[in-house]
Amino acid sequence: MTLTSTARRLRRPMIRERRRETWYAIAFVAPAAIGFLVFYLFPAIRGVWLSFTNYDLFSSGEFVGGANYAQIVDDKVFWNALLVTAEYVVINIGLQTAVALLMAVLMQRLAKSLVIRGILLVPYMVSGVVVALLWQWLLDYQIGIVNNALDFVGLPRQSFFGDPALAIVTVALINVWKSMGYTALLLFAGLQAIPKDVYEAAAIDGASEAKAFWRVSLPLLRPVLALVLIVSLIGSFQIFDTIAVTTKGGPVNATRVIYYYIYDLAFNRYDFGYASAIALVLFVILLGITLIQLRITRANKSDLA
Amino acid sequence: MKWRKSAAVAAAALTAAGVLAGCGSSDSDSGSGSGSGGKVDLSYWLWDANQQPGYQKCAEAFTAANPNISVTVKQYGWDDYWSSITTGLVSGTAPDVFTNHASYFPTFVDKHQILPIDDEKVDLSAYQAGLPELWVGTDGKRYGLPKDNGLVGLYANDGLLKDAGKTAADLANLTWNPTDGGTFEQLIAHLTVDKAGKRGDQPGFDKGKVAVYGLGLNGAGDGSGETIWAQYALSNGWQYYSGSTSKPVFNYNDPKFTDTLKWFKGLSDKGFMPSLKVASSGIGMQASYGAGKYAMTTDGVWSAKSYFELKDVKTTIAPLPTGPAGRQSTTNALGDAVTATTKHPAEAKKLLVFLGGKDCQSIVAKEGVVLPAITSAIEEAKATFKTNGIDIQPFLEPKTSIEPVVPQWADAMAIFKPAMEAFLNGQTQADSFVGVNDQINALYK
Repeated sequence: MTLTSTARRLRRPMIRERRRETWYAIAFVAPAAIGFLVFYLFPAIRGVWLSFTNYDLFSSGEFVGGANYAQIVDDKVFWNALLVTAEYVVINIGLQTAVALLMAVLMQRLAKSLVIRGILLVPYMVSGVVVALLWQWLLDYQIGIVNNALDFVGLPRQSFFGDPALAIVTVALINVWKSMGYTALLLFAGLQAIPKDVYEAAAIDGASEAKAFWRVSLPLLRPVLALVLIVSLIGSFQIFDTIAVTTKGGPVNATRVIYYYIYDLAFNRYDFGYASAIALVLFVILLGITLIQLRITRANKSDLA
Repeated sequence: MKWRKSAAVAAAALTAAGVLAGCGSSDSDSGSGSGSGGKVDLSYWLWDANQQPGYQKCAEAFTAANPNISVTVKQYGWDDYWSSITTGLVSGTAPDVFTNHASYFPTFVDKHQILPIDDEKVDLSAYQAGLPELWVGTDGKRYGLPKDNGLVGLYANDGLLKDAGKTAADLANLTWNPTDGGTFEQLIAHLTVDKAGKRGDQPGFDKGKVAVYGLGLNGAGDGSGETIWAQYALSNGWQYYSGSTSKPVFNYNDPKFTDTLKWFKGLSDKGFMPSLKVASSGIGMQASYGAGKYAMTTDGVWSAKSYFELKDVKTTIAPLPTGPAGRQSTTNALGDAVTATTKHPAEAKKLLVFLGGKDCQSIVAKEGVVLPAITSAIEEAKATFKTNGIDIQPFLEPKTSIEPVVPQWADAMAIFKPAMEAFLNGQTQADSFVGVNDQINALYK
């Protein structure tokens, strides 16, 4: 037996081994990959195509070039919807992050009971439609408990969903209530990951509790905070269920957020081409915001490393 | 009609921007497979859960008469229903026959998604006047038969009437006009009470602190104004549109309409009816009525059963007030439709005719939920309502106008609804409807 033949004999099983590994890899990746291709990539590409057609669900649609995009430029309802969505996102994310951060710190420092930590998560477990219905009852102008309480202490009743100035704020606050516990839990996990000795060092240097929070907790929490912000921001842009249940875009256009407008165009007015064009514009906006956010918060770098 | 108002809306949230239009358009198997030995299984869908028991009995009666055809009845909530029907028509999974709604009907005809039934023999004179025309498409072909008669009446809280020293007899001959509202407005004012106990027609009434409104408000409504403002505008001699159903010219700029609206909003300004802000911020008109916050409401006959099921309130039904052009009510009817995707068009049409016909409507009448469109079943329906303590005669007193059934209604309403909300909120004046009317009519040019 020569040396080369031995080597050849040895190489064969190795190749076979590697091939088998490839098959395993494909088998493991397939469920996610097929789901991604069938439910995300293909519909997304089809959506891009539809945005250049006048597709109306019942006929296949003709190519209309950039007509849908030209229509967007002059569509006052679209620009108003963007503004209303932005208003919602700022109130929702701003308040939600602030409250969740406070809750996370309290969970770490004070509320060590598992039961209390669990209770904070309960609103998040409830379906969005149920949450919306619940608050619709609570905030009813005449028979809701909130307005009766206001009345009892001598304050004027408020039409939370019917007043154009209040409606979008109300919807934003409902969703702050729903998601703050979940966001707090994510931030809490981030806080737990910060080593104790950094705090000890801060204490030895004479830092107060507040200073330790601003100078130690917050900077070290940045990667988690960035992730939470990105995920919740995209989620916030997708506000739909609360509005579909409570205000349906009204009064006038005060809560006609971008997703509700897209839904209305597509499924009530069968204008799928135009709705797809708006969906695509929204996609570009979200992509841009996410990239900017990643850059600003340097989410991929941790100060602990 | 507005069963959807009471139903909890549970439309699914769209998850990713691109996913929106991802419905396939392949023509696969239709929902109704045919069995062996010439047996046919038809599927029938409806959205009103209250009417399901009646139509289930109808389906059984149909199979008893046609042993070769079985029928599966399925019910979906309003929003699920329409997305399932429309996507089902595209993918071929739609039912053979389904309950159609006037606001969707012209689109289905326009897009050739439902089949005409002109080859079926039907006696149209059996139905109450005007209703059969609802289901004739813009192409002049008949697509369905009317099943119920959606009339409107006045519901009044018995206890609050008594407190005000009024009886049901005081409600029987109310008059209305757009200038001072007639005896109808006087009654509404008298039934309104502020927190200090002063009535709306007494000096010192504080419209900022109303405890009970004389008349309830059920949102701004759409361009049909059904149960909300339409009965007044019609009794002022107004008509929705002129011209044909395929090329309507709407009359939302008519002074008869705008005068009515000014009077209507005036009720809110005077504190006799909640403002739109108040009315649209909460659960709904019937819940507020049930809690004794509204003395009266205008609502459809289809809601009668649920009004009389309210625990804390006893209700009296009265006819709508008589205006300068008489007593007027809107009417609307549901009807069935045969889908273009059905594999058994002959059997499906047979089922449609049966469901809209005398035998099935007599079954439906005995359920006491709706007022049937077929004249032969009215007395049975009246008797059933009566055994539940409900006198529906007042609904039958007004003359009726059919609500608009025109193409592109959803597009027209995308213009109309925000404008009506803005007007009732005091953000615009009644003359803004001149521009709104031009925009809507431009859709049909």
